[in-house]
Amino acid sequence: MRIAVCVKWVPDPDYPALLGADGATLASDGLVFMADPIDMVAAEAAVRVKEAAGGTVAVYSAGPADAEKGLRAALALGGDEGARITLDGSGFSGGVRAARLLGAAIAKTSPDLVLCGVQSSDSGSGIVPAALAGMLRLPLVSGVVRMEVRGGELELERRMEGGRHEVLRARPPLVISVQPSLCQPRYPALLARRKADRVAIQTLSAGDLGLPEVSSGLQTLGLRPPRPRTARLVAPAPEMDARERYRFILAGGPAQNRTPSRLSGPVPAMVDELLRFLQTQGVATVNGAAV
Amino acid sequence: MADGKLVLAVVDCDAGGALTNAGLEALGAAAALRDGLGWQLAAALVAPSGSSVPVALGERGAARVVHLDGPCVTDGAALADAVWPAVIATEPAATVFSASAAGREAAARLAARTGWDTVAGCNVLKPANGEVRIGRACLGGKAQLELCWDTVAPLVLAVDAGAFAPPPARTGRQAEVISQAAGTTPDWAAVTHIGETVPPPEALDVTEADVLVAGGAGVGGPEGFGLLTELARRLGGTLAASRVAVDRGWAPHQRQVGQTGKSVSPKVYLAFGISGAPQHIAGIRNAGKVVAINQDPRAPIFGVADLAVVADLHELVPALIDRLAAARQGAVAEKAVSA
Repeated sequence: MRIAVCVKWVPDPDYPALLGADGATLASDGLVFMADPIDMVAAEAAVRVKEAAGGTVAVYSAGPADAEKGLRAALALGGDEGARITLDGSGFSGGVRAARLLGAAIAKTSPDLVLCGVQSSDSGSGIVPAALAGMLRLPLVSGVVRMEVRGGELELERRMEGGRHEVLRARPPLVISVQPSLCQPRYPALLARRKADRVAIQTLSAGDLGLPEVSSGLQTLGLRPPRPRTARLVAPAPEMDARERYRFILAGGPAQNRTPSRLSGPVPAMVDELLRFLQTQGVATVNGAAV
Repeated sequence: MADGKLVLAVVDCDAGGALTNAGLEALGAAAALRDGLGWQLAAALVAPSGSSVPVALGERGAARVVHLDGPCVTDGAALADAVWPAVIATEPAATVFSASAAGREAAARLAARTGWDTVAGCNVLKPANGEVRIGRACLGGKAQLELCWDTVAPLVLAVDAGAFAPPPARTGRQAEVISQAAGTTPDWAAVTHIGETVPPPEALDVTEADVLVAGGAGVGGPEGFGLLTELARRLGGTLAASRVAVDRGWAPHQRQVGQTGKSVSPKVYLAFGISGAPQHIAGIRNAGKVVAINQDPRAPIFGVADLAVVADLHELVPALIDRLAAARQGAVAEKAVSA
């Protein structure tokens, strides 16, 4: 299987985000850049697929010259080739620019599998996986927490809204975005690191990939301290008495006064009623059937 | 319509074709751009013909509604392809998607197709003087990124959940409804759904579970919380707790729901031995159905409940668990017989 992995070069996510003297950019002293840990998880997953099913792993990064260090860190896990697409850090395109560059480079090799983190630890737009899938016209399985090779196919488990996990069978080619819990990247041996250092990393530009320079309508004003999520306060009605106002403000709005159906009596009867109520809400079913 | 520009909100519907709150929040964000820039507000939705949603969107302030006739979609790739005809038809200056998983994926796919700039997770939109200040969280929430959009180059936005209020509905307002066929997606036969699993209660966060089994002071101690965890497991949900229970060390603080804890929005919230202080009620305002179990028939929690059970939870919970366990065994036995 031919596998492509996208690796972003990011500030250490464990570094406390401190704003510099200008109040708009990250304080640079002590700031270390690295391959995004979630992309290292994707790289590890790719190497495990390669070990199970054979093939090659190519790693890609859109970023400055230093991003090659990130590529080598990913290669040390067991990758075979690397390519960096030049992208300066200035300006913000919300991941679309990076995705288009990565997509154009990856499309040349038409891989069976494209892996990346579900969202980067710095910008965190979560745009790249879906934008890549859009560029390559491939399906996307996002938020994968388990991945196993079954013959020529993959069995995947992913996290969905509501905390449920969906189990899927997927036939390549496709794009997969991974969650950090998928696997733990191995600690590469010195020999593997030295081998990774000898891999020739291709450098490509937007021009090489035939992508025109697009002018952006977005200008970055800068970083600010995070905003606390403001509570929307509904003003209490003037005719309320003090007690009502107090309750109103604490509860963040008018209490939705419902008139509940009341249950009382012997416990077994109440259990019956309660389960019936839960079933009308689609809860408390066994194998899809009512209890 | 100062310069004849238009903002398009792509409104989500659920699998049953009903409007979702996420979809209305996207419309709310788009309405903020309309109000600040004097643009026209259009909404696009994918729904079968005969849906009442286009009328509802008109009442909520959309001047144009592009009704894309087709089966409901909850998948991002299908949504992106389905709304493409609406993007062609309206030539929006900004296209706003919701915070749902499908909304975010569709936003990214539209951006890939057009090359337009994209801001995902947008939580601030401040239009002024023909420019828009846009804010979004970054660095894992450790900083807020501020951007300025010139409103010239087209933009794709995906809003952050809960950042924008749904626009109010006013009966009588009507939109110009345009119906056209939804765009179709290539058949991704490559991905097949096998099944669903529910992770154990410990692995589920209170903000993401559909079912919450919550305990308060009335639970009486950590043993009671053990039983509630067991009940949560059997209902495919997770455990939540009131402040009192957390303060007494019966449940970990990540489980706390309320003003000083988390705000939750499960489909069903089961409150065991929780009296219902306003601070707790503040955390469950967005819950679907509330079931309250309390011995005190005058507990304030009953005022916000859909089902009030006046009972001793120490009798009720074990009985519930027994019933669910028996039913499960029955189902397993039945399966074995039929197999």
